Order: sequence, then structure tokens, then C-alpha cells
Amino acid sequence: MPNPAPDHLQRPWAIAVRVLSAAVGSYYVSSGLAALGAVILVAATGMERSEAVMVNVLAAFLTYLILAMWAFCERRLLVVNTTIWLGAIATHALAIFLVSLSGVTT
Amino acid sequence: MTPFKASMLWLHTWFGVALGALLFAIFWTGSLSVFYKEIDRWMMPMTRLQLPASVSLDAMRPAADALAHGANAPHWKVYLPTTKEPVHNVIYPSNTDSATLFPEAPGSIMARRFLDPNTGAPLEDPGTLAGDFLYSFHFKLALRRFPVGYYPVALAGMAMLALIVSGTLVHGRIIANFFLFRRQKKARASLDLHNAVGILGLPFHFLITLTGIIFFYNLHYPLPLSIPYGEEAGGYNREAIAAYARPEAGIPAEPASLDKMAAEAARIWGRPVGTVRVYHPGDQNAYALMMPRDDSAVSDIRDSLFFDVPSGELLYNQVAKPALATERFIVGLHLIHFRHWPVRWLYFLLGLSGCVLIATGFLYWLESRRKRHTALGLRGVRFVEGLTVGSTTGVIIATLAFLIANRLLPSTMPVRAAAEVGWFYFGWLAAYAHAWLRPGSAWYEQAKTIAVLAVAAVVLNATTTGDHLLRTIARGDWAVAGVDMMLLVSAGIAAVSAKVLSRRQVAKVPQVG
Repeated sequence: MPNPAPDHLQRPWAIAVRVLSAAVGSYYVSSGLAALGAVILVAATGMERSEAVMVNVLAAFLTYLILAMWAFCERRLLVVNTTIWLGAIATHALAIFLVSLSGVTT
Repeated sequence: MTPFKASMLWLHTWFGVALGALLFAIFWTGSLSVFYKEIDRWMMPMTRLQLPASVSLDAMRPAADALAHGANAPHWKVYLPTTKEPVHNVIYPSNTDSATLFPEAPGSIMARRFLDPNTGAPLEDPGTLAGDFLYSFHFKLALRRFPVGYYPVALAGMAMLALIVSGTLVHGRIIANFFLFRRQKKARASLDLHNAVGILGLPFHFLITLTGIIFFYNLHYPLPLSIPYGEEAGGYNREAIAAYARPEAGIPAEPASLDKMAAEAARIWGRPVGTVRVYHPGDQNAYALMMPRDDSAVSDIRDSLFFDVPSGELLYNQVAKPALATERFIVGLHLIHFRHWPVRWLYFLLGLSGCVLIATGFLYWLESRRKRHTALGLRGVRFVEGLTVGSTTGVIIATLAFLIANRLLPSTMPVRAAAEVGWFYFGWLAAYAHAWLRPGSAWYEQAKTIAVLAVAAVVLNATTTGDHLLRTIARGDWAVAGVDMMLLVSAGIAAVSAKVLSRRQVAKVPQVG
């Protein structure tokens, strides 16, 4: 006899939103964090850009995995959605802002 | 069960059922990819050659130049002959490729031709994608013209990672249950097998999936690759990968010796040259990009040397920096370019254990629901059972149909390579249709089909090429002999499975459902 689904994974539309936030939203958070991490690493340590990007992109795959799985554990859908989608926008925006500040446009 | 575990179990169950079919196909073709060069020899008899003691780039250059000029291609690349692939493997962008269904469609794809390792002359066009089809299925669903196949594979891969993590978290007593096998109860038996294979293969399954996704990092993370470069488009690629480029001059010029450049490259690296790409062949601005080959190392080294082709002078030496070198090691773990055959076999077997993991996961889902679904008149079990059969034994049947088509279709046939691929998909669709139409006996009948097709493939190889097992073994051609032997082993396993299944079917008749 299979186990019943937990309460927060019962209604189809709520599941669909969760899957979207987990699969797409978490991806963008991991992408934004990698961009931000690379920009900060370059500014803080003077590491070559391509190297800083690579380090952060390697980590991004695991960030994505962990965030996507968290999206199914957190019971409050609103918390999942706000964290993930705000995080996705904020990380990218901050990374772009920092780059424009440092004027890296060579 | 805690809410956390319940969530993980839900994730494991439904992502497994939803993506198991795709994941099985990826693990199956990926496992075969360990031996895709061997499958190439089997499917391309004209390339069953002996590797000469030395090969010459200068001998093959005119033929490669001619191929590129004929296709109006700006560059060509050669994979130099190796023991696994004893021919020059030349690829160049082309719109006139016999392997496409719609040769007139826009966009360009890579055409491939093989050259004789002794003379450098083009070999007869094999008219097949051969092992490359199975290989490219496992990372881009073999979609050639439209590069969208990478994405579903990567998403399925991420889901596989989530499945592995959630499955491990849900698992109760990892050590205590490892030796548990409750053979009498079908649902329990499939769960115990699923758990044992899952724990045993855990590090491999996780790493092979992660390294496979990381391979295409530049495709999957375009924003982190571009944002740190501000307005500078393509900055990452310039800085990390393609360090040198120059446009065509439009003035013809005689090339210097590529062999001399390759010797210089080997001296600089301390490793032999593996690939050479010539840009603007025949032009005054022609330049050659050389990369090494090292079949004793894990890392897939892509250090690059650029030579000026008319003069033979070294233009640029690019060495991977630490983070990129780390990525090349991670990717090397997946690509296994090393020659050590026991480890290669381990990759193959652990890859197949991934297939067993996915199949037993399906079986547990089915057996733990069969009674209830039958009682309530739900159709879920019947649908998923057809899905399971079609995506496990079905993809094996498709692969065998592909091999058999390769031996049966005439070499003169137009779009022959596409026809072979057609057989693959036809075989697969037929297996799905059969699985849904005959739910009771599908497993048994498809196992029997696999046994028959595998033997037929071996017989066809012997009759159409004359290379039967005794001859290939005597010749020491372990690529072709190995494929034949694995086909026979598969036939044996399938026949035994069919026998067990037929006995179970007889025993099942008096039961309801």
C-alpha cells in the first residue's frame, strides 16, 4: 500500500506551481547566485573572470539541486514562491548592478 | 513518517514515474556509449582496419581540404586514428549530409567522412550514424539539426540527482536492509532489489549524472557566463576557451607540413596530438588548432596550440587555468577517454545497473498498486505497465532493430543513415504499442523478441561481412567480436528471462488480475 501524499502535495494546481518554481525558479536562483558569486570573487580576490565564473558555475548545479528539493519540502507555497522568484530577480539584478559599478566593459 | 520524509517520498515516486522512461533511455544509450567506437566498427565494416605504425596528416590533408571546399565549409577537424578508431575521422559543417531526413533544410550540421589511415584517401561512405547515433541520443536525444535535445536530457538529469538524493533520504536502514531480499512477495522483491542496486551504485549514478550535466555548463548557464563581462559579448569564450582566431584573407597560399607542426605540438605537451582543426584551408590566413590526446589520464585535456599553416609557426599556446582544468577533470570522469578496459567495463556495468535501478523502481510502483487499482477499476497501473515495458525492453528492441537495419539496408540506398534511425524509432514505437495492447504477455513476448533479434544481428554480421566470430577472434578484432559476443550474451539473458516469465505467466492464470 503506497504512502499517502503529504498535505501540501495534494492539490494539482499547487503541485504545478511548485514544480514550476522548483524546476525553473530554482534554476534562475542558481544562475543569479553564480553570476553574483563570480562578480564578487573577481572584485574581492582579483581572480581571473573566466576562472571565477567556472568555480561558481560548478557550484550552481548543486545550488539548483538543493533549492529545487527544498521547494518540495517547505509546506507554505507562498514562502517557496517568494523566496525563489525574488531570489532569482535579486541575484541577477545585483550582479548586473555590481558589474556596472566596477565598469568592467573592456 | 515525518512530513520531510513524506515529501521526499512523494518527490521520489512521482518524478520517478514521470521521467523514468526518458532516464532509462538515457542510461541505456549512455551505457552503450562506453563502447560506441566498438559499435562503430561493427556497423561500418569498411573501417575494420589495422592501425598503421605511423599516420600522416600531410597525406590526409588534401582529401580533407577537398571535402571542406566541396561543402563550402570554413574549417575541418580530424580525429587522428587510434586503436579504437583506426581511421582518420574528418568532420566539417555541411548542408549536404546523407544522414539527414531533410537535406535542404536551413542551418548547418556536421558531416563526417572517414579516410584511409595508410593513404589518406576517403573510404566508401558508410551511410550510417552508427555508434554516434546512440552516443548522441544519450545527451541530446540524437537531435542533429535543431539543438534542443540537450535541455530535456539535462532536466531529466537534474531530476535523476533529486531522485538519488530523495531515495537515499527516504531509505530507512541502509546497512541493515542491504542484504534483504524478500523473493516471495513481488512488490517487496522489486523494492529490495531497487534499494540494493541504488545503494551499491549510488556514488556512480550520482557522479555520472552530475558530470554529464556539467559537460554542457556553457549551454546551461549562459547568464553567469555573460553578466560578469558586462557589455563585452562572448568574453567568457574568448578568455577561457577560444584564445585565437583570425578571418580569411582571400589570398590562396601553400600550406606547410602539418606533420611537422604536430611533432612540435607533441614536443611541447609531451603527449601526442589527438585532434587537428584547420581554419580557412588553402588560404594565406589558414591556421591549425591542435589538441592533445592522453589515454592514460582521466582528465579530458583541451590545451590548445595554434599554428600558422602557411609558415608552420606557432601562433599561440593556450593552457587551461586551474578552475577550467578542474572542470576538464570532472568531464573526463564522464568521457572516459582512457584506455584501461577493466574500468571501462565497470562504467558499462554500473551504467546498466542504473537501468536496473530505474526498471525496478517502476516495478515497485506497479506491484504496490496493482491490487488496489484493479479493485477500484483505476487505469494507472495498466498505463504505467505499458510505459515500463515500452521504455525498458522497448528501447533494447529499438537498438537491435537499428543494428539489424544496418546489416540489411543496401549500401546504395539514398538517405540510408536516416532510414536506420527510422528503424530504431519504428521498433521502439511498435514495442510501446505492443506493450499497451497486450498487457498480460508483453514482458514475456518482448524478452523473446530481444533474444531472437540479438541472434539475428550476429548472424547478419557474419553473412553480410563474412566476419563471423571465429574469424574476428582469430584476427584479434575485439571490437567486432566483442559486440557479437555481447549480443549473444544479451540473447542468452533475454531467453532465460522469457523462460522465467512464461513459467510465472502459467502460474498466474488462475488468479484474478
